[in-house]
Amino acid sequence: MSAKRILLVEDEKHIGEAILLNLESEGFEMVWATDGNQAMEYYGNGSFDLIMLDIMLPGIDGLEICRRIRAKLGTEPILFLTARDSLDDKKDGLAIGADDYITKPFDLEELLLRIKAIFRRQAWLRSENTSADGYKFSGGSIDFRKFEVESPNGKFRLSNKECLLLKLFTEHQDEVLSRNTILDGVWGYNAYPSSRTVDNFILRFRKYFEPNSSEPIYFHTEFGTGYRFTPKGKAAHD
Amino acid sequence: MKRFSASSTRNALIIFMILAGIFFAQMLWWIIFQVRNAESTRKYLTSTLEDQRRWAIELLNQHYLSIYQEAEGVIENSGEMTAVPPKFSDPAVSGIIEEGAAEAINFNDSLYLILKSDGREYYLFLNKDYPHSLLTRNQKLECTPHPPGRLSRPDWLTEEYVKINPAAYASIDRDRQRHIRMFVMEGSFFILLMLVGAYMIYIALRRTRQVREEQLLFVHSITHELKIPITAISLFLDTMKRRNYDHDLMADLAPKMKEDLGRLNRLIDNILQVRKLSDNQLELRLEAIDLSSELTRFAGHIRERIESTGGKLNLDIAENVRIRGNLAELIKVWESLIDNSFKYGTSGNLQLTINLRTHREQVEMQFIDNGPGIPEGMGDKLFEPFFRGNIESRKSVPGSGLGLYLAREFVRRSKGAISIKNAPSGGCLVNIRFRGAK
Repeated sequence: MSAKRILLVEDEKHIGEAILLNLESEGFEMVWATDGNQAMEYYGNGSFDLIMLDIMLPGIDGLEICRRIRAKLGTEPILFLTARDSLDDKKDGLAIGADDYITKPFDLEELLLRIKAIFRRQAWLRSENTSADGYKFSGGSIDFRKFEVESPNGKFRLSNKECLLLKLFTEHQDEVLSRNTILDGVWGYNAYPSSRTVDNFILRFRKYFEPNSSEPIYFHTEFGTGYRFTPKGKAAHD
Repeated sequence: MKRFSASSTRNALIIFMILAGIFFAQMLWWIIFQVRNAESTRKYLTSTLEDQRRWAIELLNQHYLSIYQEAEGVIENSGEMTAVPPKFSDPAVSGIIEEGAAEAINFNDSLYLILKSDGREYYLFLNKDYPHSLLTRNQKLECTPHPPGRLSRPDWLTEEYVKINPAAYASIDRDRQRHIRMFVMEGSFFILLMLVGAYMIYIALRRTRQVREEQLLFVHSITHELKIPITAISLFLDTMKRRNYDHDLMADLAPKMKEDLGRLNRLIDNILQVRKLSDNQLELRLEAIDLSSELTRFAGHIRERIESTGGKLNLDIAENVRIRGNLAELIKVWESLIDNSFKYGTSGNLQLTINLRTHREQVEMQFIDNGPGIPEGMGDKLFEPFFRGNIESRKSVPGSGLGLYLAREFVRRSKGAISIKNAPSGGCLVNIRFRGAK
């Protein structure tokens, strides 16, 4: 397997150097951009397995870079590295499609763990039991490679996180998945999203697949325990 | 905290709007009331005029007999012209007298005046005490013997002979309009006053909010600035540990860590200096400085930093330029300007020009870079503490907002002046002027 390519966008010389020094020795292929314009240029000219973004940057800031990448339908996982740690910033980052968030100052080990967790999840998403023609159930079909779903409700594009969570559900059909299982599987060991975040994903899935989202037959919330996916379609209280 | 301030401002605004609404309604009601009041006054005065007219008609009719006899008597004693008393100074009266065709008959300063013209024609004019009523001009009154046994003759003077003077109407209208105008003016004045007050309150509120926002941003920026070197040092230490404290690696990383510590230290110094400056605690020592050699030496230090990132440094430094000032503080100013050029400039190829020239008594120093320049009309504001250009650059460019503030304060302490503008070539041009010393 070829080395993972990581685009690092960081304007601080020493932080960039330290990250490069360590990630290169871990066997990653690193590309380092020191401002927003350079980042967009590198992004346009190459393919990456992970993008690490600082928020405060000269030129285009990190949130805007993330927004532009997602607008171009880029599905690369994005990890924010930033000194900003207020709740609003986290929400901003997640709302526009970031995958993870690490606040400065951070430990090197923690950074490496997070990067590995992201790659592990990506690998799982693309693992061999993901068939090339995707997954089909009576509510519609999911293409985990193209990040697309198709259902009687229409055709939708998935975010990386949505894709991961759907994958988790399809691998655990008819089982109740606890909130913690979901957080571990999709968000990694540093599970910052609240249960509301998971709820929001479920609401979106219902919009994608359910004939009537107020009476779900595929995506159920089991109060107090977690969530359940029933691909054959089943009313909540059968 | 932000949310709280926003909602308290919104509450203040809502209360203010309600009060303004009440006040405005009050003003409006007051104006309407006054207009209606003026209208009813006008109606009252008009009806008074009509009363007076009716009264005059009645009176003249009642006096019919004596008027007639008076007239007859005058006619018989004709030949004497009685002077017209001033009460009857109606132009119509004097007109008839001047024509020589009439004689004035003074009727004891009373209500009316009878004029006799040739033949047996009589003209009757009302006393000036009844200015609102007019006898129809040139209306001949036929003096016919009264019916026997009757003193009054109601049909002698009918309503059509006595009219209300249009000038009286006009004067009532004029009064009314003057009143209304006065109330409208006063009303508008109060509304204007209220608006001015509202505007001043708004300015004060906005200023308070700005100060709070600036301070929040300041804390935010300082925190960010502190965290960067801490992150770098922490990462370097983690790296050393991972490599089992490899000697070569440590030798490589130590100077970088030292540099980060220097950066932390500079930031803390800046904060302390701002504090001292604002408390007037910083002692001022002015000394003779050879600006040419100091600036050349400084340029030598920064040349490496600029060229190592692919930039270029151009120098044009006149020799033997001397001023009196504080060298340590001026070097801080230069450092801060160079930092800004790095921070805000285009990445990599920084083109920096440093000029030092004398111009008669004036010493002029210029720092010109090839960055994006400064936003239009922002020059002097950039020197305000915590001010960091537009919101976008505050978000994306690290900085405490203290660099240029300190720069200006330090230049001022060395009796100089600093200004910033866009260079003709597009970058940023900082100009520092001093009075030269021999």
